[in-house]
Amino acid sequence: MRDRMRNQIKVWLSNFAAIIRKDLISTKRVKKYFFSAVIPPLVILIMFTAFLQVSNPETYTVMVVDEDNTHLSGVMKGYLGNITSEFAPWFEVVNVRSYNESLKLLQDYRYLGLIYIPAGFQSNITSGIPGLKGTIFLIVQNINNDYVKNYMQRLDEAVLTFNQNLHLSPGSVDDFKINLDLHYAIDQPVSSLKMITLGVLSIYGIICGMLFGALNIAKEFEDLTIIEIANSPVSRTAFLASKQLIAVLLGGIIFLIFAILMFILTQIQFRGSFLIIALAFTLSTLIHSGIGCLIGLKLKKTMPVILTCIITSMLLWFFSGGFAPLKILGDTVVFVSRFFPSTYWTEILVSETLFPITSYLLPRITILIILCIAITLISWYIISKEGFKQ
Amino acid sequence: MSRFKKLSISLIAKEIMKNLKIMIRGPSRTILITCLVFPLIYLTFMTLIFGSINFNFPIAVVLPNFNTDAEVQDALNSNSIPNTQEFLNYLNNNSYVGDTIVKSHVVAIGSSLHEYEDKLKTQEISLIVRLPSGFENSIAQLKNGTWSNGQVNIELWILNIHEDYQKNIYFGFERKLKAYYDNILTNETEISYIYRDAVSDRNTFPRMWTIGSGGLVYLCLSTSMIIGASFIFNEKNELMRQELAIASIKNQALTYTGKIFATLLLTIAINFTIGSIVIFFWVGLPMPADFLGFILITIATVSIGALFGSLLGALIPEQVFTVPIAAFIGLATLFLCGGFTDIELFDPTLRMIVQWIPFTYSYSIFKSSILTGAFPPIFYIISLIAYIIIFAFSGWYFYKRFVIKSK
Repeated sequence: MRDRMRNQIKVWLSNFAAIIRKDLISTKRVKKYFFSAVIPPLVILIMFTAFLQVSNPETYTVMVVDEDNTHLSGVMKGYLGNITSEFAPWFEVVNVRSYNESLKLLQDYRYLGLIYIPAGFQSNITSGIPGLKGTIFLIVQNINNDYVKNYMQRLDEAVLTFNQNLHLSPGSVDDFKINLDLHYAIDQPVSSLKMITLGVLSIYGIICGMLFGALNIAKEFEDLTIIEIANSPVSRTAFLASKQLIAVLLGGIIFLIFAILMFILTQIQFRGSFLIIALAFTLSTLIHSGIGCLIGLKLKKTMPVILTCIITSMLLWFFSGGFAPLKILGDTVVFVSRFFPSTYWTEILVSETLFPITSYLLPRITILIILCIAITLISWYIISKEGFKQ
Repeated sequence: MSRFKKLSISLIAKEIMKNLKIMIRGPSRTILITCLVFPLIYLTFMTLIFGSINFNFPIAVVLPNFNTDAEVQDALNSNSIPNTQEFLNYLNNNSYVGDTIVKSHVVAIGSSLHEYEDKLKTQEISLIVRLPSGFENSIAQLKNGTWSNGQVNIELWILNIHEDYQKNIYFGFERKLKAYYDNILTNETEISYIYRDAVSDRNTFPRMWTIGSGGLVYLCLSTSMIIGASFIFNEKNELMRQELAIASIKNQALTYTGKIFATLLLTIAINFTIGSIVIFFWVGLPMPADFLGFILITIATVSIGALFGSLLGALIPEQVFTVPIAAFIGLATLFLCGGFTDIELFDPTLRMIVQWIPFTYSYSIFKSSILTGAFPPIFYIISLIAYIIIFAFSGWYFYKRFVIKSK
């Protein structure tokens, strides 16, 4: 009895290894299968880092005309030039001598914002008359509301900084009565590049499983090898398990290579455990390969499979917080995201990288394990039932 | 009409029908759906991000001079800390930056910072504001003019999970604080500023209008590129290629023309129509004042995409690569040619460079036809037509060189 069982396991493993070998050879032979999983995330990385930098700058150039030319107007100009975020200065200041000249440059779109400090700025502040303040003017090329808002918010910062420091005794800057101290939740600056990088890595945990799972099934239909398998003594479970395992293997290699490269290039400091990331990646890839196998079964042709998997992965990536924090996208997206396994994978990847918290991690890993078992069983059942019909 | 003309038109019509049938019936109909889905995904992304720019960020406030959360609640309920309550009201009230609303709401008030630190990291809250122990008394002294010395230090812990998110929270809090300063501490502030539009008689368009109209151009361009390329791939089938190789130049040219017209028809009839309905309603774009002009501009935009797509189809070895390549080129044009940000807002040097990209004129003319209704500069129209002619000739050349004459 025991020998029979041992033999069965041996045969199963041999079938399993043979199908993996076959699929690895075909993936190596047809490069488009492999690159379909590698390239889309890289396109996203290039697009969102390079193009957004070009068309959505962090530092805004502003002309400053100082007609007051006093100590306090100089202090104000200093604040304008020196206020900065963690990543980039808010303003690049260009000093222009006359107001009329600056207006002309503004109308010619040479510059898009102007801060005008009129004569009387200091005397108003130091007049001692209650309610009399130094007034400055912000004039912006009003092309769209987002640009106008960005200029206003940046000037808010400079005005607040001025108001939080008392300048009434000339030559000194005394502390004002209310002051702001800033701290950050995460102990490393999380630039857009770092966040996009983590987002791109999270897509690999979605697209690799889905695409390799789907392609491995679709290829069998396209090459008509599914008929041979259906007529052979190869175990159905060995066949299906191999399809998923190959997705984990290939996906794991791609993920590992790009994770190392991107972490080095973007200088992300990893705070968590590699084992947990590996476990979460494996679970996510198994889940998505199960979904992918069903896509392959439905479409049966490699080209529609590639396109469908890329689009589905993009959507899942977007609705699971890989593109931007879910909170920024609104309550509906937060609600929808809870239905996707990719959300839990992305959350684990981000939190383990930046701020590992056990109480945050455990429920998410548990959900991934349950989903992995459920989706794998469902996909195996459907493919066993539908996939081998002749 | 001469027999020659009739034959030519009939050949083009047959070519159009053939390509439409292949596209709609064959497996390449996935391409048609992809063409529609990609731009809509883009638009969904951008709408959610820029449309929800008025996002509502949750705040936790810590009052360390109380021992327990219950004591804090008691103090607030009994109105024994009115100045603190007033400050909390400012955090809960909406404030404005231009026409943008800054929303925030205080979701928790407690006595210890520690209980909120993990919630901040896990994004349950976006900001912790810790008011110093003497805040209530200090503000009372400030108001009744009995302030003696010392300083009120408000500490902020910001969720820095994303650069833009962090910026929005920080700017949002500053807006609230500025409103508080301006109203409560009016005599304590030294300066203020006044905002003015550079062009007072021009409407400041919502950013989503730029993104929506740019998204529609992107949809037209990427769709026509992908479909144009896939029609060329129909011809790469060996049997068709052999037939074409022995046909006269005129028939070859008519076949090529038929593919371009088929692309135009399919893109405008399906993708542009569905895309327009979605985008106009979703983004709330105004209807173009000159509808005929708008349609002509759409045809020109789709033509330039279709011709460029035929170039791609001739040059790219495998059909499956046309989708990502066309989508990438489409997105590159979107960001570089003014589909995402108006080119007037680009750096002057970059602005000069992008003037040489052929698709810039499509974006500029198309957008202005929707947003301003103004007749575009004649130079733009001439440039657009010139690029259409250049792409038509080069597309035809590469079609002959790499499709018809290749082995």
